[in-house]
Amino acid sequence: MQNDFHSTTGIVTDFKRFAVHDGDGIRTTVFLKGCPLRCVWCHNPESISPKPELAFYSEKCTGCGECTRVCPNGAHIFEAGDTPDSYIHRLDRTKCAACGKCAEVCVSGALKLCGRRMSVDEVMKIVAEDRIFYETSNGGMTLSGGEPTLQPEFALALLRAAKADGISTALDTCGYTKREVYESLLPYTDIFLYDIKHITDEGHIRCTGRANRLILENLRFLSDAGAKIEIRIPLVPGYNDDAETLDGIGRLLSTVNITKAKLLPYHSYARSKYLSLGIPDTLPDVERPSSERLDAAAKLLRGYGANVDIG
Amino acid sequence: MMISNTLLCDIEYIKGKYHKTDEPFNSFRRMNYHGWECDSSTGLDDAEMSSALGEYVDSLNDTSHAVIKAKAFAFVLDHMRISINPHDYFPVLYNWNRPLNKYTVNRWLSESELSSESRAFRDEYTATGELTCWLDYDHSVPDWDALYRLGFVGIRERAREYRRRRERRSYPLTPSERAYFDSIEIEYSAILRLIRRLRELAETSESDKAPTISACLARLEVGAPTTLYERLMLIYFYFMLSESIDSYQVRSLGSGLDHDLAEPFANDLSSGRFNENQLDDFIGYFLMQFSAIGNYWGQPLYLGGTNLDGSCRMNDMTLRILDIYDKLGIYNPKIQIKYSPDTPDKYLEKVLDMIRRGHSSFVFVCDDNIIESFKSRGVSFERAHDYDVKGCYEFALRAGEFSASPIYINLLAPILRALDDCSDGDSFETLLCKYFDRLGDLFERSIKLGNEMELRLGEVNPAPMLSATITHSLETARDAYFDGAELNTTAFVVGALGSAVDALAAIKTLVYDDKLVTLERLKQVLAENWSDERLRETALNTKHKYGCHDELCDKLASRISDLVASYQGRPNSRGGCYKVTIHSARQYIEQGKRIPATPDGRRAGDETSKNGSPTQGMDRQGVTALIHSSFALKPSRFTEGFGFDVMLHETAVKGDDGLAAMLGLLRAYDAGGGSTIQFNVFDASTLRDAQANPEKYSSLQVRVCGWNVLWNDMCKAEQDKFIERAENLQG
Repeated sequence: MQNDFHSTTGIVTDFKRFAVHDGDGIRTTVFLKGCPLRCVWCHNPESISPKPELAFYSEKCTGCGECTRVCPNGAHIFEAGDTPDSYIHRLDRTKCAACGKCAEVCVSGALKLCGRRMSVDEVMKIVAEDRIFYETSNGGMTLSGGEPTLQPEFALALLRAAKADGISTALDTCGYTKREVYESLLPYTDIFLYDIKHITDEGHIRCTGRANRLILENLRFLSDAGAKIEIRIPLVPGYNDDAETLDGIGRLLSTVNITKAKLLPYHSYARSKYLSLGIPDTLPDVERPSSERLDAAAKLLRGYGANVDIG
Repeated sequence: MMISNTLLCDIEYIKGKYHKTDEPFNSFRRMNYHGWECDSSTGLDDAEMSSALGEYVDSLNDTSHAVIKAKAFAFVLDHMRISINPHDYFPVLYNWNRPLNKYTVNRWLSESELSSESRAFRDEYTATGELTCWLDYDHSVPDWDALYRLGFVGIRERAREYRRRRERRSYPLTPSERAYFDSIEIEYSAILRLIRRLRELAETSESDKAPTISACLARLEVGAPTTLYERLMLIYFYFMLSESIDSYQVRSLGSGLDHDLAEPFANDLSSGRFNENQLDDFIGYFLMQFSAIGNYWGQPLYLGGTNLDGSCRMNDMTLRILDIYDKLGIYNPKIQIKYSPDTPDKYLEKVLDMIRRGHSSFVFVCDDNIIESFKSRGVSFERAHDYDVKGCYEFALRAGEFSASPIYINLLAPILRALDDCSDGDSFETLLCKYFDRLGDLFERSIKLGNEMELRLGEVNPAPMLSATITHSLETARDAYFDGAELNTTAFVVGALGSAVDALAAIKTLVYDDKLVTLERLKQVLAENWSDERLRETALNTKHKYGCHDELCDKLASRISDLVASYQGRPNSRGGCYKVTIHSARQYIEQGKRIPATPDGRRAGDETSKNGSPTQGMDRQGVTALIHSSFALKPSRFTEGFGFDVMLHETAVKGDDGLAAMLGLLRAYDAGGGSTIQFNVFDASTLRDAQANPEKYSSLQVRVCGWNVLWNDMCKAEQDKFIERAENLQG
């Protein structure tokens, strides 16, 4: 039986220990790679692609050249710079196989492999390290992403393994997946951290590239099934912070069973990540919503009876 | 909880009580300052005092140091300038710069030389930064219960009774026994005369507060304190006279101030003697005294603990003291919080909330683990449950142990000796063995040195004031700080553990695993203060760092700490034994200045790691990994203490989630066998702004090593380290 799920493997982007805003208590958040949505404000762009990829923070490069020594494909190229002692370190992504060998030898942290295949046992070994903190804070493991349900078997296996190990579980999900996936995960998930990004199809498509009907249906399903749900609403000025959208979200919240709704103010800290991955920056050129704006949005949602926090 | 307008107005005045707030102040030389002036008719100024005292001491025919010191103590008190100020409930003692030391303690120190062998060892190892030593008189706590119960009068009377008993058993007393009792009689009589002078002065004062002050002093003149204010006055007197005149630092104000004040508070209220607001004010004025005194380590007091029946000792007074402290917005005194699994969350949440709002002068002590640590030494629960915290972190049997801490050992520096002992071809395990040999040799020779040094402990600085409060000392007629306590222990103060682990791990990575350099070449690079910058960067950036829950480093830390812990229990020369505290005090800077470049990437002269904490900036895997690494050391087995600091980013601790997370960390640290833990909550951008605009952050403090320092008092390199560490928290 053990092999049924302990040896299951998947692609993990990263871990965050001492995650304190991803569910109750102190948690370890496991970020699974791959996401079906393309949110314009995405602050985890390294999690979008389902495949491993190399992040390159050129400003951290010290020019030691170790990467050129270990790269089997010659993806790292050093060229002379404008001055005699300067250099330009270029990463040829067409040659990079994301094997991670260069990241292993890069002491300056300029190269980082985003995503590696891991077994459930390997993940749980890391998660279980902080068990003492889960026990003293009612914390546990949170699966996040990307979108963890994009690797449904791996997500299920991780949640089962955590429950079998007595570790509380949370699933941070965008809601865009088949209902059967949620049906399978439901028995092993203590709380769903469920994103609502827009209320209309058009608005959702504009924000994420996908319609939201499936997301709303899944929310209804989980609510009816008695799942514990915390709604998370990223508040992005100019995208979903108008009164009409918030009214719509408020009406939705009043029809489902949730523990609370959390407003997550937009931030623009992910810009360097886009650069490091060599992918176009889609982050909107807007400021973090003001505290007055956040308070007003929270007040509006509270008007629909929701217990609202600002995250 | 209210702070009266009177106290609010007086706060600004009290800040200038012991130094002038509009003039530069160096807390390391705090006793050389004066704040409020006193009427010259009340006594001598410092120069007059010194001159008169010198003549007086030289005229004495006594041979006993205890008696000479006691007479000098009495002379100072009898001629001290004093004042009752309208802005304060606590009198001014003007000559607070340890005036008698010049003619007593310092002379006796210079007369008492070490053997040539010990001197040679001390000088050589001090120069290399491996060792720092001095006779320690900085860790005393009197038997506060006895002082509350008996007052100064009763303490003197009890000593007389012990003398009579002794004389009945063995007449005549030996010269040292006579000197012991004589010195107590002289010092406590002088204390009572000083109180009488102050009472008489208060009676002539027209201040609103004077009648309350004189009534309080009148009571202390004849008996034990009966009210909360009288208890606080007694603590203040004992502290000031012991610390500033008798040259013994008093490291806890009360034996759990919440416990000590709860009963008189209730009595004062029920008797109608004082109302709640007045009592809160007394506590506020009391706490302000220590803010005014401004010693650099922060005057400690502790709250909480465990009752004899095993229950939590916190009470409403705990919250009351915390509330007042919170409203005063001061960081001196600093407060240690003894907590256990059964400590209700509300107390801890109150403190944690204060910490995340910027009050960083708190240390949490895992009370249940420390009591267990006492039990492992053969001390019963009954005797151990109310132990004292007698320093930044140090623990001692209440009224039964003072454990002088004369020797500071640096764990990093001996690695350089071990490197010299090895050459290319030697394995890493061989190098480790050489390191442990060198470290073992350092401890063995330090024990010899400590034993010799401490034989002089009582002769150089007799402790009549302290001894009179300690039952075992009175029973044996032996100086309490020398060998008259129940447990006459000595502590090794051991630092740079994080740096030592990082250095060993770096050698393994650079020389043995990655083969980037030979051992001989590494020695050469180090001798040239890291002449190979790229190699240094590799050393700094290797993933193997203490504080990251790294398997290699945690194993190394465990092996080193096992060796260090094995020296606990070794007999000292005063009938007691050695203990260990993993604590660096200021030696992470001072010893660091003398240590050449080390394999962890540290340059010559740079600071080393502090306490049981990682090298600044190297805990890159977050706080849970850091705490796990500390568990590898088994913190609570270090019976003298274990300092451990944790830095949290302010976004991680905001809101209810953040408070719950802090509480979870605290509970987990205790559950995992922790000893003490302290938090710094920072945002790197705030620190960067503070560095760029110091004028905007004149009151920003950071916790450095058991005490706080003002941000603006740190040098840029130290500030950079803090910023680096805060940046790591942001991930």
